[in-house]
Amino acid sequence: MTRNLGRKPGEGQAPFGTFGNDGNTYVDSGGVRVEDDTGLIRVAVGRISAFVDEEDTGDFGLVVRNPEGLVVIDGTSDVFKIVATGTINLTGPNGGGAGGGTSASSVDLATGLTYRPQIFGMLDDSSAFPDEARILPTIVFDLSNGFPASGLVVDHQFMSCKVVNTDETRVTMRWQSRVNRSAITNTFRYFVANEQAF
Amino acid sequence: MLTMLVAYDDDGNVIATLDYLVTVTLEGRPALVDFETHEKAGGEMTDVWTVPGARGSKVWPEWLGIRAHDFRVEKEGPPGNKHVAALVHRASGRRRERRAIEDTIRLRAAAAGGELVDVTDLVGAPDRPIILDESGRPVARHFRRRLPTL
Repeated sequence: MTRNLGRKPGEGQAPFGTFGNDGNTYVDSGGVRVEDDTGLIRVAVGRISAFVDEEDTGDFGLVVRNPEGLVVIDGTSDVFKIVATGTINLTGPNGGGAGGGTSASSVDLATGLTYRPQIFGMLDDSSAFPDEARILPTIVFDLSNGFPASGLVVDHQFMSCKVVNTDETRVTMRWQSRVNRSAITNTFRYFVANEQAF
Repeated sequence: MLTMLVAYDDDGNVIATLDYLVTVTLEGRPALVDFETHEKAGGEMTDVWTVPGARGSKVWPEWLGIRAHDFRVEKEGPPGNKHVAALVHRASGRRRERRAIEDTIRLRAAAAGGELVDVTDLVGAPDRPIILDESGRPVARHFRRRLPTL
């Protein structure tokens, strides 16, 4: 059996009781809590309201506190989970004519998500900036004091996503240019994220 | 095993990758899609993703990051049941052979006697791709320095 996530699963099941050399880990039917040497609950998993609020409302979840007692992880803020990542090629447009040009490439992913997810993207490699990650959108200005005109936006690269076929996510990379970029192919990385409530 | 997907054009050049995909099962549970099992069962990768302009899409057992786009696929197998046997670097011709990778994984798994084996150093992972240079040669990772910590 192989696994390539770089982790090994834990074994066994903790019985109810108190653990740790300083007796700071407690397991009972409500869950698990870990206290530091001042008695502050730093981590609570399970019936957290009983552990943290001292008023048992039966809420289950996870709370992590820093040494000052400030909650750094809890169930009050949603998180983004990355549900897919990959790369995509895009050759630039021939935008030398009037109005410039646009090129696009896309992937449709069977995420099963029925609403528009969040997306993050980056220009992951290009001939102009090899081995460099550039956050999208990228905008290139003409600083040459020449064609087409100094200060104009020459290139604009951006990524978008939407729901297609009710449960697939389409990631589209677009490149708008006022000049001919058809000899350039860049590689972009996409991250599709799903907002997740605790 | 978790694997990567590569999509390739008419010339076999890699034009897109999918490092992993979480989908929502019919029972409403989020789960990682097993590309390899789907391919071995004769499933179409268009069930997983579609890439306009792609000739096909197959499983590859490593994660190469954006450097995967420097390669073309070499397939083998009977019509309708082909798999990618090698990735060939388009500039240098350097080859990455699937059989060698999978044999190494099998040997390591056998040596572990059924215990779980971490093969991240062999194949990388979605968040830790094998780092290659522009000619497809592996680049050694820098060892982390031991720094004072708080």
